[in-house]
Parts: sequence; C-alpha cells; structure tokens
Amino acid sequence: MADNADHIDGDDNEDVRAQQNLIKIKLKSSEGGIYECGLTAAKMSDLVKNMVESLGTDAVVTTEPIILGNEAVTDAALKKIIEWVEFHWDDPPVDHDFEDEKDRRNEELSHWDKQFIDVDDQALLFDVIAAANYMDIKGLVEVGAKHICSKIRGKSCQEVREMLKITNDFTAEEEDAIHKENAWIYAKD
Amino acid sequence: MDMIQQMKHLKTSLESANDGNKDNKQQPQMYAKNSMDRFGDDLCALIVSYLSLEDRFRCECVSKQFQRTVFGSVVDITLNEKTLYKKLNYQILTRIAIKCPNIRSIEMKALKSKYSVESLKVLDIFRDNCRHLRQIYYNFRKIIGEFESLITGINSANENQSLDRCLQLSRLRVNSLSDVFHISSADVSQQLLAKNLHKFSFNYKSSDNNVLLSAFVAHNQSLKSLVIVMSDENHETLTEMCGQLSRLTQLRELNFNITIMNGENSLSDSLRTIGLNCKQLQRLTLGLMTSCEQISDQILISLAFFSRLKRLDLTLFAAIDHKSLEPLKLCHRLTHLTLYLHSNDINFEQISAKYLPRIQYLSIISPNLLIKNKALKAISKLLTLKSLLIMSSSNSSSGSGALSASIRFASSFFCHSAVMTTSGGANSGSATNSRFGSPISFRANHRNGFSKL
Repeated sequence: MADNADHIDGDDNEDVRAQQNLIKIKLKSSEGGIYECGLTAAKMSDLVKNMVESLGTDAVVTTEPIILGNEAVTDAALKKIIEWVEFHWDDPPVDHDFEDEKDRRNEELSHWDKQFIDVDDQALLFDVIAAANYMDIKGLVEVGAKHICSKIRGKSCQEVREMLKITNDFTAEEEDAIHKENAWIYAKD
Repeated sequence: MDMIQQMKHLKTSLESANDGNKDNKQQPQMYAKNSMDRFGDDLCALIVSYLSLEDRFRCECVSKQFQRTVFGSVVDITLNEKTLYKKLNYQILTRIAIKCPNIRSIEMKALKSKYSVESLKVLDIFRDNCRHLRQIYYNFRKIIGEFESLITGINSANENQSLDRCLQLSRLRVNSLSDVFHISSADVSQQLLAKNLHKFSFNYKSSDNNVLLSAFVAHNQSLKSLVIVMSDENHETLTEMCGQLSRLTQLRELNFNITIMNGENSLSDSLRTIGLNCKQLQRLTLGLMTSCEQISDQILISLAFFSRLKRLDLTLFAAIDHKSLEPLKLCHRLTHLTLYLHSNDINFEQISAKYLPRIQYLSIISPNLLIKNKALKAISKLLTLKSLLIMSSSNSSSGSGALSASIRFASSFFCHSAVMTTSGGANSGSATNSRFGSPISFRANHRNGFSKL
C-alpha cells in the first residue's frame, strides 16, 4: 500500500491491457458459430482466461477457436456476451478501500447494463446468464441476477412463477403452511 | 467473489443434505429454455441472493428449489423500530433466524435505547440460531452483558462503563471525546476505554483537551476513518489538534466539519501537517462554515498537500476567489469530486481531462453560480465520467444546451438552487451524503463518456 502511493498506480497495466485487447481471439459457440473477441475482454471469463493461459503462445490462441461446449452458449448468447465484455473490459478495478461487497451488491445497474440485459426473449436471457455462469464471468452473472431480482421485487409467488415459468412443485397444503408462516410480510406498516 | 464461493459451498452442502433432490444440471433437456427451472441450485441461489429479505420470504413458496436456495445467502440483517416492533415479534424473528442460519452481522444502530431490553432478547435469538454471528452494530451500551464480545460497532453512547469490555469494537460514534474516557475526579486520572478502533466519529468540544486526544491517538493507531465536527476553536487548540491527528498515519478517510468565525487562524498550516503525515489518506471531506474568504482560500491552498486523494468533497460557505481552485490541478488521482460552493464567479479550468484523468463522479452544487459554456464543454470531455450532478442557479438554456448538445443528454440535469436546502456545521456531513442520492444524477459509461447514453 505505502509503496504504490508514490506513483499513479496501474497506468502501465492499463496500457498492457489495451494492447492485449487488440489481439483478437476466436470463440466457438455450442452451435458452431465462431466469433472474434479482444483478448483482454475475453479474459473477463475465468474459463477462457484459464484456457488461454494453459494454451500458452499467442499464435495458437489467435488461430484456433476456443470451444465453449455448454449448450447455453448459443450463437445469440455468445454474441451478447462478447458485446458485454467488449464494453466492460476496461472498467476501473474495484476500490476495496471504499466499496465493500454489500454496497456493490445493492448498487443499481448502470444505464447501459440495464438496456443490455433487458432482453424480451426470456430463453435468450436465461442462455446469457447460464452461459456467463458457465464461462465464469462474475460481473455479467451479477447483472443478470440483479435484473431478474428487480423483476421479482414485490410480486406474489404466483406472479413470479408465471413470469419466470417456474413449476410449482408444492402441494396446496405445503404452500398454505409456508404462506401462514410468512404472513408477517403482508402486514401493514 | 466471496459470495460465489460461498454459494458453491452451500450447494455442495445442500446436495449432501438433500439426497434424492433432482439435479437439474444432469438433465437440462427436461426444462423449457425460457423456464428458470433449467437452472441448478447453485445458479438459482446466486440469482436470488440479490433479493431483499422480504422478497425472499415472499418467494419461499415459488418452488422447492426457491425454498432451498433463497435464504442461504442472507448474511446481514438490519433491525429498526419499524421492522422490529410493528411487524415482527419474537416468534417471527426466531423463524427468520432459523431459516437464515448464515447471518453474520446484525445492525441495530437506529434502534432507540428504550428498546434495550427487547434488543437483548433479539440478540439472544440470533446468537442461538446463527452460528456465524460475529458482528453487531449497536446503538446503546446499557446492559450489553454477554454480547460484549460480539459488539463491533456502537453508534452513540451515554454510558461508558462497559465500553472497555467490548474487545471487538471497531466502529464508534460518540458525542464528545470524554465519552471514551473513564475520568475519575478523585485522582484526576483518565482511563481510555476504546482502543484499536477503525472508525471513529466525535464532536470536538473545548472541554476535550488535547491531552485526551493525545492519549486516544496513541492507542488508536489503527484508525482508518475519522469524522470530526468542531466549532470556533482558537488558533492554538486547532493547531495542536491537527498535530495530534497527523499521527494517525493509517488514516484513509477524514471528514472534517469546522465552523470558524474568527479570521485569525492558520487552518492551512494545520491541514498541511495532516496532508504531509497521513500518506494513506484517500478520501477527504471538508466542510467549512465561515464567511471569511481568506480562510477558504487558505484551505484550498493546503489541498496541494493532499495530492494522493481519490475522493474529495468540499463544502465552502464563503465566496472564493475565482483562482482559488487552482490547487485542485495537483490532485490527479481524484475519482470522485464534490464541490459545494457559494461563489458566483469561478472558472472551472481545473475540471478538465488533463487534470482529472480518472474522474468518475463529479458533482458541482452552487446556488449562485452561473456555469459558463466553456466549463460545460470541458465537463463534456471528461470521458471517464460515470455520474454527473450539477445544481446551480443557471437556468440559461444556452448553458445547458451546450452541454446536452455535446454529450447528447436526453434530459436536462440542471436544478434551481431554490429547491435545495442548505445546511452547515454539524449537519453538513450528512447533508453531503444525502446529496449523493439525489434523483438527478446521471450515469454514463466510464469509457465512452456520455456519447453512448
């Protein structure tokens, strides 16, 4: 801490990241589509980062596509994911002195992220979230999770089930019992 | 990051505890692509971890998967008068504690002291059901008793007998410095009751002599955040106090609210001492209640010794000279800048990408100031900016026009000063904070500036 206080921290690193993002790598979806993505951006995925690092040389990385076999990584989902990482790769690092985990979790999504994740096609939305989870892109999973939670907010169980197409596997008695237990939520302030 | 790790562990433990539960990951084909049923427990848990506590309980009966996953990520709970005494009772709280066994931290700082007996009972409930409970932010010290070892924060205190038994205490707010001392009148000795704190907040009063402060500083070298409110102290007291504060070399955050009526002050020298010695300081909030222009100018000059700051929040009530903001040019690392000014002629040449290459958050509040087109153009070129708030008397359509034209804002973000209440002195700290939540703050992407809004 004391050491890096004397130079503006991270400038060199930022340049390296920008340089590296000029290198394009290929990502292959489970449907076979191949898409280009900047290296730094692609490395926001811990899965891709590990694969790239285990492959070693840049030559291999830029010629052979990285295969993302999970079925959620459709062409459409991969295109969305590349759009997201290409936009976010140079986000400033989290400032641990001032932003704790709790604050970050409660922070509202940025305008851009909101528009990005507000996808009408729920199958695509779930593909993007599941694919981001598979690819280990924590920031994007968080965006998806915040989006879904903002839609759940204030809704009844039945409304949530209808919206997210969730099967109710409780019996009527079980559901009643839970409702009674949680009746305090519906109490007037 | 932590949360995800935690989720993964949770998933493993859930699986072993719930043999025979369907594992969605094994047979993904069974579920429609647009149904959330397709997600495994770990991903489902991660998603619902962003719900509020009430929404979690409301959603418990959505499905068995929701029931399994919705409570595990509850790690903190805030109890105030409204939730605790109007909605909840001990039985409900017990149920909450049983369902949310991973609660680590309880915040009760807004609770009034007349509820001290009830709050002990509540703490009992959570301690018995939540094995990981290790942080309590409390509002009063009366009969903490057996919970002393869990108390990590105290919000205000009138009785200090048991303060020294809270060995985990790291956050403390008191009315005056003497509250953290046990002062025995018999032998004129004082015993310091709070040591090794991380956050501290107090009102400096003339009765708190600098001997107390010296003892406090000596035993709280760990202090990272300090809030001080003081009014009209004489030159010597102020200088000596700042001298003491400059010994807090671990300080990251300093919030200094000061009222000065008398111009005979060397506040800039005092602040310079802090700036030179507290090298870890990254966040500075300065609220200066004075009508004296000289003092304001002096304060600004001393900013040159705070060039490491990442966040600066400046509130000045005196009119300042248009060149006074010059020292800001040296604060290259600022990511957050808030200026609350009572001046009508400032040129904002300091607000440019050249001097503020990292700025993410900018807020300028100035009731009388007409912000000129030139300044607005400079602001529109701050490509790192994520959030911008401007409140001024300027209703010049050409002014806002210039800005919106160059950054393509859909809506105007100027605000007439009349709707803003001003506050100062003891309250200016909180006023500063509340402004952050102002509805007219705009976010733009940090990289592409406002052009993508």
